[in-house]
Amino acid sequence: MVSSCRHLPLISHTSLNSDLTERSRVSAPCLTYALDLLPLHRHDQFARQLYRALRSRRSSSSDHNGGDGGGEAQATVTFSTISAPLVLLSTITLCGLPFFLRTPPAEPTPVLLGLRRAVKSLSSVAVGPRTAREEGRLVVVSVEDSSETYAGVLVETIKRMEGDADFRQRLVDEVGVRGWRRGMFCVELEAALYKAGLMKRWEVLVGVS
Amino acid sequence: MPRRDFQVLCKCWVSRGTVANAIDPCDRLLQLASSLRLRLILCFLKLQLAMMHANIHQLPPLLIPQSLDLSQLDLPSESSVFSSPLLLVLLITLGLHLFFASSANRFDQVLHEDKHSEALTALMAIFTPTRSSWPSDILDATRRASVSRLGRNSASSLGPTGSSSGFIKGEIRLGFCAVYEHILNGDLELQPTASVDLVKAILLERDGMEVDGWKIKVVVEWRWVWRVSFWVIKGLGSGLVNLSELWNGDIQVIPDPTAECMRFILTAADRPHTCWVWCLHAVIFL
Repeated sequence: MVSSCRHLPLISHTSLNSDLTERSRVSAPCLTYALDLLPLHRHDQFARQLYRALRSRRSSSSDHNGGDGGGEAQATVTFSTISAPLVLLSTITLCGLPFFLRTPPAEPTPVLLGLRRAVKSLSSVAVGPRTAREEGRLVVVSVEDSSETYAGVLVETIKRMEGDADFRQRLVDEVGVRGWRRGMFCVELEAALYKAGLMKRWEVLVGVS
Repeated sequence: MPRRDFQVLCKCWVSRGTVANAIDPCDRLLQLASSLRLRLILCFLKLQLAMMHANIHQLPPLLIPQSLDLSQLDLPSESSVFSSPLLLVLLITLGLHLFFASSANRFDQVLHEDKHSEALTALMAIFTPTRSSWPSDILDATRRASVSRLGRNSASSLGPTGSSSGFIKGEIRLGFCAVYEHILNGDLELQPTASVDLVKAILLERDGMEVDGWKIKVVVEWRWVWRVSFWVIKGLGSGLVNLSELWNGDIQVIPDPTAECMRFILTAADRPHTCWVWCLHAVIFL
């Protein structure tokens, strides 16, 4: 897994198509995508494009390997979900605050998404008229709870936002001092939600059948 | 037990258990004394007013000041006033009361200042002021908490120190909006390890989070709840509005069914043989 491929919060939000294209060019052993930045209604489209990207990657690697067809094509999809035992309005408000307070507000995907729904949308790639000749589908290889690791990544991000002078200056130039403080507060609040067990971070390893 | 561990245990005992339990009964006694003192004040004031009323009714109506002749008034002489034993006792009691009341007020003020500084110290477990003084509304909140005599046992959540004294000294109630604005303005900073405590203080809005005997509550205002709810609902509904972006021409989107049925249709699109069932479903809904 390539940690540099992770989407960190508050970092720029690229469109899905360019993101996929750009990441597909990276010759990494495993690509990592974050579903949090995507609206909920585009998850199926994401799964479809991910399937195409992995399929083309596998075919290109099999061509490169002399046509043995055994190329490894896997990707890691990460997302966050609410994990409170009883989801009340106060829980939704609290869990939504770090995503809502960003400017512009992020998508409310972590509040709305559930593990079952995400796995279902990843494992059921729709085959429409244009892709009818394509055979195969995305297969969920493993699901891992990486909340503690992700909270650590967020804490490191906070330290970097505060301690790294160049990074801090770049952020202040881009969003202003209030925006920098707001970003730090949002990241701290999000890390606290993972530490307190109110939210979970999942890493789903998917491949092509 | 090693000597060093014993010393640490003693320090913890002195700083948490003993002090908390020693101040609170004292506070209760003062509360009792103040209420008794107030009753005494009222009794003496009533007596004094009655005496004054009786003296005033003994006086004839005053005429023009130039024509006032004191010799015509039936005023009691100075010696007779102070010779009245009841009035003398009253005056002495009033003097003593005024003296003790002012000293007790000073003592109360000192006690409240101590409690106020304790409340601010407890609040520093979560926030730190970036300037030499706290923001005024935070000071008001802690002052209210220090003045309010909230003495009750609590078996609620443990604080970040991991100990619960069982006796609540006060309740510091802050608004999330004010805290957020102070953080954005740079007046306050979250303690490096206190973000989880802030989450607990928000989440445990009803019970509050306990820090050294002080309950800290951060209340998310209803307007924030509405804004976040509207944002979530908007995100949920955006999938129904942006239907044109959904499938990128992979399938044929059937026009004009209700939005909910459209979701069913799109979900069932990978099973073409069942698509007509959902079309029928849409027609029934319409």
